Amino acid sequence: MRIRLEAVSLQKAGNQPSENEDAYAPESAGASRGAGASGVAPFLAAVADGATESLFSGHWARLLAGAFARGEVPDAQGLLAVLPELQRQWHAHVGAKPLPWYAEEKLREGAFATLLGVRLSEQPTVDCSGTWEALAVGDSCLFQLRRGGLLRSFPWSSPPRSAPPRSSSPRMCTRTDAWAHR
Amino acid sequence: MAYSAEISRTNPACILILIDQSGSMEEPFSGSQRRKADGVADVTNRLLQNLVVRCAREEGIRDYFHLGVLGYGGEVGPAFRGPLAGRSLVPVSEIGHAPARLEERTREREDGMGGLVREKVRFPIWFESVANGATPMCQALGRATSLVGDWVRRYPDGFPPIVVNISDGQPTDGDPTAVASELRGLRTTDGEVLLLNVHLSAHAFTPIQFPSSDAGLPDAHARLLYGLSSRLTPGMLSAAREEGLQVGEGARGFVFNADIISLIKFLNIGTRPSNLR
Repeated sequence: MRIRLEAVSLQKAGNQPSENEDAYAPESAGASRGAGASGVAPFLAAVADGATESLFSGHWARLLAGAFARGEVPDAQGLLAVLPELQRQWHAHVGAKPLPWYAEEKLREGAFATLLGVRLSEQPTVDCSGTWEALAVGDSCLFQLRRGGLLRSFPWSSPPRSAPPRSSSPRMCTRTDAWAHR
Repeated sequence: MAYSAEISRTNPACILILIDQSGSMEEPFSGSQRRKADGVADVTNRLLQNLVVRCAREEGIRDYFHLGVLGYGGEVGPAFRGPLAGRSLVPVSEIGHAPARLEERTREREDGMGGLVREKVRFPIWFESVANGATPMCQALGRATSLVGDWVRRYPDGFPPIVVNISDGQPTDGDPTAVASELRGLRTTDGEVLLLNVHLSAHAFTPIQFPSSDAGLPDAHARLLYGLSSRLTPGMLSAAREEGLQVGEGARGFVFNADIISLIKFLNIGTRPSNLR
């Protein structure tokens, strides 16, 4: 399986690059857990969109995307299992700073981010086929393109009318497919 | 579509609160021992706090809003205390950094395991209660028209300014219809200035919230305030429905015989920022 990873991220209009609350992982295709080890190990990548309205949501988004890319989030149950440790890391990060009254108040609300993770697995016995599996929380979206056309999107087939509630449940999708490129 | 402009630091929103500080604000709220003046001061400080917190980010407070409080009673003028005294419309970052004082208060919150924990919090105070003099509402609306007029010339494409007028009585300086109409006639490319009115009551009447017509209103004063009030924007209609209120499409930004609960609800609905960039 040949994989090329390219990440593109842009802050909102009027914001500084340092105010971009989006995150992705891994940094490069070679940094994915298992990639290149045997040729059949799954490739993991994730994006997370930190909510503009919450504080330190960029850090929370980086923790979520990183955990998925390291293989710590196998499925929805796995996400729930890893959350307490990620929350501890987030609190350790933000609690280390002296904060003004308004930041103290806002931190009580926590931070919010979407998560969209995809796992690509090659089938060693079947030529030219593989499986992708995706997990999504919130309104980030995966698009599968082939020859310039949209094959499938997940979890949204059309733009959501409004942002999903902060307590969205994770959604999973598994699909077996012939790869476009090998 | 009107009232859809994004609120950003280059196009901030403006919220101006007009507060009746006449002598009758000494009376308690309906169903409460609390003076109306004290309740309104607390709710106003809480509103300012919520807006500051909403704009707080890692690097500080983003100036999505410019906020002002005008008092009217014995005097008509800016009502901030402390370092902001005398200022009319102030960027929210300056408000966050300059409360007159910080009170330590205790509050209860859910502990996530079905129980409650008490915690100490710092509560900022910008505005203190005042109750003396008459009800010069026309003067207050005139001052608001001047401030908001300057604002829309400065930010002609921004979200239209929101003016909230909180009062417990009839104007003592004439009929406010013309000056209110002038205020509502100011506009940005995104729509006309929004004027919302809250009438506070010392009596235990059921509040009339966001009426769509003046047919059921009890007296001429209620009908006058209804006539001064703007229609709710689509965003405010959604916010009202989220609060569990039944509001029609033509609902006005007006509550009559408000108690403290309906005042808090009203401000949540009328000032909720839904389109911060």
